[in-house]
Amino acid sequence: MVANRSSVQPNSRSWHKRFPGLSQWLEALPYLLPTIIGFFVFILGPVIASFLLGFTEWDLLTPPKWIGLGNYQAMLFDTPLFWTTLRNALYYTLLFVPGAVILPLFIAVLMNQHLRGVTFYRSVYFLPVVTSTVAVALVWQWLYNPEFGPINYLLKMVGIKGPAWIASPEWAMPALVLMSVWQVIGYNMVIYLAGLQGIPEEYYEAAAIDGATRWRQFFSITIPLISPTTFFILIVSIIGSLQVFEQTYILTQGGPAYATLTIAYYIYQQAFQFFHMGFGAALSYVLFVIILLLTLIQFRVQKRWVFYN
Amino acid sequence: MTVKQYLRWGRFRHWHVLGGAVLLAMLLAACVASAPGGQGSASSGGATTIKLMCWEGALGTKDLVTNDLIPGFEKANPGIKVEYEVLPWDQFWTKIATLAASGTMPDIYCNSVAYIWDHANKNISADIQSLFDRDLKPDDYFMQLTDVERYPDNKGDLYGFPFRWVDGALFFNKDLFDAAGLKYPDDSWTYDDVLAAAQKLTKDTDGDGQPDQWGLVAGMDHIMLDSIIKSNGGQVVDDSYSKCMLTEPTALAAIQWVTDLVQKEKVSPSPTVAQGFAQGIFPSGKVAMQINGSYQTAPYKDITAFKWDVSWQPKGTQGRVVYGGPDSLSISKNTKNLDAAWAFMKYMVNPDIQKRGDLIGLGSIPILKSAAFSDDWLKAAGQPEHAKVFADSGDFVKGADFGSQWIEWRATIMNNELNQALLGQRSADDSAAAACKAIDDVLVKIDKPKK
Repeated sequence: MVANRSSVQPNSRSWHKRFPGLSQWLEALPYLLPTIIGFFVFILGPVIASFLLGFTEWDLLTPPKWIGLGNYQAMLFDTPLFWTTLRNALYYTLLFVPGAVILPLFIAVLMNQHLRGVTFYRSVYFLPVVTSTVAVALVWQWLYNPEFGPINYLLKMVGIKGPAWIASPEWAMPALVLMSVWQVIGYNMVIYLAGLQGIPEEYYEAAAIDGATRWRQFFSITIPLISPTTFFILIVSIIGSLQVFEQTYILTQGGPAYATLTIAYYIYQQAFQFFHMGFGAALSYVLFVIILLLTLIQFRVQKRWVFYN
Repeated sequence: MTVKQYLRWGRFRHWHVLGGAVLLAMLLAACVASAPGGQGSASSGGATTIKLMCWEGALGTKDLVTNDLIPGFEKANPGIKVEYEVLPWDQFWTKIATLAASGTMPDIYCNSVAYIWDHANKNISADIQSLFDRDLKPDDYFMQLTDVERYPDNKGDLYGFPFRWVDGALFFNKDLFDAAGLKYPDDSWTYDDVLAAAQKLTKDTDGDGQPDQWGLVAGMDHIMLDSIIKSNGGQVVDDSYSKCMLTEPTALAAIQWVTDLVQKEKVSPSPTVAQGFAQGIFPSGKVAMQINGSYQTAPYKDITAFKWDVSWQPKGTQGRVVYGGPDSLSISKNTKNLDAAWAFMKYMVNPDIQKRGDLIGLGSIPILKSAAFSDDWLKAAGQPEHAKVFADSGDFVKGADFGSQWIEWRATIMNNELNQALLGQRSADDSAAAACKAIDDVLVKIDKPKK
């Protein structure tokens, strides 16, 4: 009877029944709307707009002027600084990624033991992560001060004349990397900790019975079984290296002598200090493509060294 | 993972600003283009409210502006209310550009020498020449400072008016001069005299074979280098603002001279060493002389370790050229409250405001001559003994080729390229050549005047 009525009378109920997915979706829509609008207006919109802007010349004050591939052409063939930023990005990545991948692993292994007060130490290592980069950078600015900073003071006590750190073209980039590694250790450590705790205890017990040393266990069990975590940290670290902004914005403004001019800072300079919005947008897309390619390559290569059990 | 990535992108919040600005401007560009540019007073009946926008520090502390400056104006001009908004320098110009694109500019705003030309060229600021001619007398003001407010070629009409200005001066450490038994710098000094004194004032006080007290600070900034170039008869860019002139012999010699201060004469610390002093190297007491902006008086007034004073920016082979630049107010082209905005501009240059040291600031010079030479300003607490040099230097002031993209080609590119000579990374010649190549790339793309 019920079935009969609903099939004959085309009321709202039948519509609901015929398209159950759609009706659920419509019910959810009002709740999702704020996020959806936010996504279209603040994420998808700008993504599309900045792609189009990359083909224009725009100073914010007058309407954008279409120049086709002009920005990309100027960037690749006429802007030595663009290549400087790429070189700097490569240098930063080579210094930063080993530090951000290896150091936290060792600390995570240390923090994974059942020791008194281990939660306290974990919190201490995590502290830099929850501190704003601006505050961190200002503190490091003092640490790095060549005349009065504690780092050079300590070096002097052991008879070494410390470098000028962020004021020196040779040492500025290593100094930024040192600060960034220090800041990221806690975060990567927590991820490693989660990975380490996913390795069954039995593997280590069996290995110990077979006579494997702690080092052997570390290299033969921990490293392979934690490789998915390592892979994740590697990807995030490389992406992070290519997007360095605050460190150079606060500490060095890209100097001295362009030694710390990163791509993100260069984009900021071009777009928001010099008002070359089109050029800035084009640069952003080049950065996007570089990150995309590097990440795709890593996903290809991971099959050779990442083990999922 | 997603949270972390979001944070990484989110922390670089300018991505969002870029996105927001893009959308906003694209939506509004069309509307603005067709909207009529209404001008004239809209003070029909009730109170007129004008909106004033400045960057932090342009007009004094926010407290002083909202509790003193603006109430004073509102009292003197019944029927006009002022709404004040202040932003950090970095955000100010992006916001102004966005407001201009959306047709919602403040009625009156603080304008910088770096942007006055662009704002006139792009119809953002109003021509106030006729208002000036009607109400104010040129003889009362340091009019040479208003050249950079004139569009299109420093000779046209006024697109802003200064309420104060700053210039270059030779700051010197009296204690170090006394210790070396040297005469203080005076108005006869040339750059050669400065170098000769610097050689006598550079010392190795701790006996490690390296100087740790220097005679002078070398800088490739516009206050020091550009003044040396011009006082020797050279140019930084040509008269049409389209070509870099740094590779010409006179300019090149000046760049070489500044480079030699560090690399050959060793009377100046390298930028690497100088930057190590967090409060600046002059306050550290380790240098005897520094050519810098008069506005350094404000931070330097706190120096207690030694006595210091100021003297004239030295003479070159072709006479004296002192750097000078105004801090200005501009009125928006599309304001509906032109009269009220102009009333505020006049208020800022009236004697009661101009002679107040707390409003105009130490080392910032009143644009009103009578105030600049009054004891109220000259003897304000914290001024150096010879603060009158700041005001007297007005006769020798030249701007620093302010114009479109000045922040890009001068304050960024030229500094960065020439600093490599100071750092000893390459020769002065190579640095000048590299600077010119990069500067020409910027200048060639600059908009030409619209009229």
